[in-house]
Amino acid sequence: MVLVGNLKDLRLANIIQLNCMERNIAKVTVSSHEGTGFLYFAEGQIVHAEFSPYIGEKAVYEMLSLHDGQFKVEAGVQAPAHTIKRPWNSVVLDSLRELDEKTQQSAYSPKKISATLSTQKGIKNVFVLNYEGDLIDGNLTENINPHLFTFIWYKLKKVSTLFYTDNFSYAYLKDYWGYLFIIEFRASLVFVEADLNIIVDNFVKMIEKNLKSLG
Amino acid sequence: MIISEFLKDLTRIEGIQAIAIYRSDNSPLDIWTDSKFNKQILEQVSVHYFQIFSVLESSLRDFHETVITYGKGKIFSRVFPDSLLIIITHPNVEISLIRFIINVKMTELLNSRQFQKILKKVPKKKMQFLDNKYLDEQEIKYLKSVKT
Repeated sequence: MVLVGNLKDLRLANIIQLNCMERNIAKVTVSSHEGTGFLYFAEGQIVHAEFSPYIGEKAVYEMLSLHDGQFKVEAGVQAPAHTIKRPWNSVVLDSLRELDEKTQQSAYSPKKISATLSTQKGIKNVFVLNYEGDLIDGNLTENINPHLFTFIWYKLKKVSTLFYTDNFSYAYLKDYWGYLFIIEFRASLVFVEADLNIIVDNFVKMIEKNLKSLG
Repeated sequence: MIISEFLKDLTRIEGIQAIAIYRSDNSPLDIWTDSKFNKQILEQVSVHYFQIFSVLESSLRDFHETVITYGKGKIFSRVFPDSLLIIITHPNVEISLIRFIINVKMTELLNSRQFQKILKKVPKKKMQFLDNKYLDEQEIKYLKSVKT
């Protein structure tokens, strides 16, 4: 039996769910202007996926990102390989979560951060780095080496993971002149230099509120 | 011993889970923990801090203290000329209170004959905390970029 349709009418995530719940042995072909891909199902799982040049979970992710295209479901077709070992729902959920984060990421501009925060009381300077240590917003003061402070963030985060958590909220350094806060925000690092007169907890709440307002 | 003598005010604060003092070669001078705290974690934590402060030394700022806030608590660290202090707390503990106690009590501790005696007792090994063998690939990459 062959079922044909458009991804606009039936989302690929739903097609996957249906085939897994029904424990179908099936092949789903997806054709769009970005390429053609294949998903294979057996024993209630996705067992193999191809979407050139990817195979396995990455191919599933790429296919789930398609909004337009045709699909064809063929029952009884066996998979030529077994490249996916994780349960289908983990593969789909992780992919959808990643896609959602990517969408949010593209909607937000780190360029607004420095302008938004710099006017707040107690703040001396704001700059934003990516995880590689490249400046993406704001200005660096003379005594700040961006790669050095990206290294510091990386190490502090590593310390927090020793406590069985990936929930790193923020960190700060203190010298005799002030604080340097490091806050993770949307795959970037917001560094805020503040004077010693601030009250840390209130200050961080204010920063987080302002960052939230950026969308 | 030195913690219960000089920093007993800290051990009495509700929510303080661990206090550790290390010599600058990463040998522990004294460790105090509450009964539920896993002491083994501290062994790994201190190396990271020595690396952090070694790198900060090369910055043009004089950062001597760090605080990490994560879901389950806070990790406070401060470096001194011959030692490193690490304090692990629950989230509700006020860092300003810890800082206040340390400013007074650590000075007493560092200047005490007892502490100076401990320092002299064991010859200090020269540790290269930023040697590549103690760093992961990403850390090596960052440090390479710092130098260029």
